Amino acid sequence: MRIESAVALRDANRQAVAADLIVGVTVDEVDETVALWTPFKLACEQAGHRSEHSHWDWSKKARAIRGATYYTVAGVRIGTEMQGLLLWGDLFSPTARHPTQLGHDLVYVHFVSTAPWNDRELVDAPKFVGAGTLLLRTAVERSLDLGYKGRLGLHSLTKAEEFYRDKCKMIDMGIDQSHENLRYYEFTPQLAQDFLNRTGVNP
Amino acid sequence: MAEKRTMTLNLTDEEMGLLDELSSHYDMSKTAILRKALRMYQVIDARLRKGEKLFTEDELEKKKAELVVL
Amino acid sequence: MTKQQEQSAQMLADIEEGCVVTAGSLDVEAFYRKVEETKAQAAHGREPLLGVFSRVINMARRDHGWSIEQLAEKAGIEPIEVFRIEGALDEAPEPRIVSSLSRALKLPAGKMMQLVGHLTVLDPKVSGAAMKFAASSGSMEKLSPSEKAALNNFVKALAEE
Repeated sequence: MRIESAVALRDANRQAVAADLIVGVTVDEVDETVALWTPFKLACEQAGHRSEHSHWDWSKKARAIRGATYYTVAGVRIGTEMQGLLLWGDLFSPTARHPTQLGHDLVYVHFVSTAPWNDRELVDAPKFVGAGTLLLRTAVERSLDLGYKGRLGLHSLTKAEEFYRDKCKMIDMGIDQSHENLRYYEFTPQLAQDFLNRTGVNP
Repeated sequence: MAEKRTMTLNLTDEEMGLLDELSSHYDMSKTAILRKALRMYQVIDARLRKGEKLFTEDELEKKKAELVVL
Repeated sequence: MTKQQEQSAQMLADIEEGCVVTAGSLDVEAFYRKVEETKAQAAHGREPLLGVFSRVINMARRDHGWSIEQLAEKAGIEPIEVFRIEGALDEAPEPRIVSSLSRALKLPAGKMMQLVGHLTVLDPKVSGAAMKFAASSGSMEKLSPSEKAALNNFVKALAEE
């Protein structure tokens, strides 16, 4: 199922720009996104800037989950250009690890990345800011919708730890040795609600 | 969020009790429990229709038991 | 853009300003393995049978003397959908489309569902018959006048700027 709704991001002039939030991005749309992102990414790499996740293949990810109703790709698009993608699992997913939420269902973010021109690992001045946060908010809203009360979990890549811990204020559950020694973060229901309040969602 | 429609359900006392127990154990509303059950049912049903079988596994005892479905 | 969306955009950006947001695994192979474990897989050797389905629909339609448009109308689906099905399929059409086409062409819907993989295990008699059909049904006939006209028009349109 595919749902589109109207949202907005901020551009380099600090102006709000209309955007579309898509829950249920199709394989074709992901392919178009990859075709759009790759040349810019390669140009960055030729100039000596390579991100940790440069080897990610969103087309392959989208195809791998095709037909499985419990994986979803969400994206935010300005005009015809995708500004970020997020893949979540919301059934048969890992459950919460925080002691107060142990064993409860959550929405697990498998992958999230922004378009290379928005990626602070590749550029100093992103074209649009807010895509990642918006997609995270969408995953939290999905968690609420399913009765998981906003619980969410993800493994952060090293350079994004500051974002999840300090900006989103997720709980740092520590280095996960079973998951490439990446740091694992969770939202409890309360922290998820705080995050929604800070991102402009009316309670 | 997806649009939703309302449905009325008739459940036996036993089914209602089961729903209450699951709802309280998982700290989820009864609606959320039923929606999750439906989604899980769809996935399992799709596999069964393809001719696959449903098992549970006891990792500690290293035992697998087939859930027989007619 | 509403005032709320505008405000929200500023709030989102204030949170994200100056940050890298990437999350997930670096070992993507592990993810694909996990998806394989939780997701039902296509049955082995499904592809030749999707081809058989395409060809049966095409030949049954022509046997009725119908155009693609006419079949689409009778089945209550879009002509482009029929066209796509008669061409190369890399995944099974939706069950409602399989059943609409089957009904319109007076083909057994249950068996057609088996061909494309929507119903249980494929009956070996059905798969055997399908293989035989696949081998013998390639056309060696010249194009009919209407096929020739359609092809010429299309080639002409492609050649135009």
